[in-house]
Amino acid sequence: MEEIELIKKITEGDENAFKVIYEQYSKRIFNTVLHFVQNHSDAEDVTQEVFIEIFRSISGFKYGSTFFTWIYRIAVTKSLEFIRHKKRKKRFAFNIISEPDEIISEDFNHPGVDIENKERALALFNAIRKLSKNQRIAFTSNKIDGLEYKEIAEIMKISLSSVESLIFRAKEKLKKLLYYYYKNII
Amino acid sequence: MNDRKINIEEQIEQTLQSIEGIKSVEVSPYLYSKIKNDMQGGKIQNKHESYRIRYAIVVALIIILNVITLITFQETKSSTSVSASDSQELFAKEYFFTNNFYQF
Repeated sequence: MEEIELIKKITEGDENAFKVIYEQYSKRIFNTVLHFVQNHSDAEDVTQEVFIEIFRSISGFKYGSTFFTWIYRIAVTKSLEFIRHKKRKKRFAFNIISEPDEIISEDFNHPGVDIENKERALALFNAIRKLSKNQRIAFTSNKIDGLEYKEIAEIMKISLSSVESLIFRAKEKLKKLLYYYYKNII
Repeated sequence: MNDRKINIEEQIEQTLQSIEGIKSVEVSPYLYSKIKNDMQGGKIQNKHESYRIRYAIVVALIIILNVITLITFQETKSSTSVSASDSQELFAKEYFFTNNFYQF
């Protein structure tokens, strides 16, 4: 069945069509969410929310972009919302005033990283958390999720040159952060 | 000192490359069931459907209001006509337009 037909059927409330879309995109969306929230069980919860949102607002998809771009945008938005909410909750719970990046300090061991790269990937994921929101979206989408600049521009609704600049600045910041990290351990 | 700096820079480059070729993680097989449960529990409706339901509720409300207005209007009308005949009688009494006109 064509994607357009599936979308139309979901709009009419067809759960079977929704399942087809879920099977097609769930793995990719789950991994994207995992790269942002950096926690397996949180990623499951957010992915669940993403698909519920897809079902709920599919009538708002106007074919102005690819369906994947539209879904990916929902996934990124939900992930960032979750991160913001988690930070707020932790700040409230511990009643401390500190930088938001310091609050979520759990180390993220990505299960898909090779054993020899585990330590390095852990340091990198920690550093990614310290990027600005837009740098984080652009860098994660491109370097981890493998999206092209054009797709990222569509998702973030910015120009190609802005995407390039965001990724460049993200890399520069990561280099700086990693320099301080290795300076202390080497 | 220089060696240390070179070593750090190498580490940074390797760290930036450490996520290249990262493998995808499988989704829990129970995730879809969770979503479906939420959907069947009636917690979720797609916007298109919920708009249709809202539209139906609004139409039903308008019809009910119209019926109530109509019934009320008819009741008022009948009670008005009764009170009109009452007032005619009263007027007749007042100005002697009754059958027992000559009895006084």
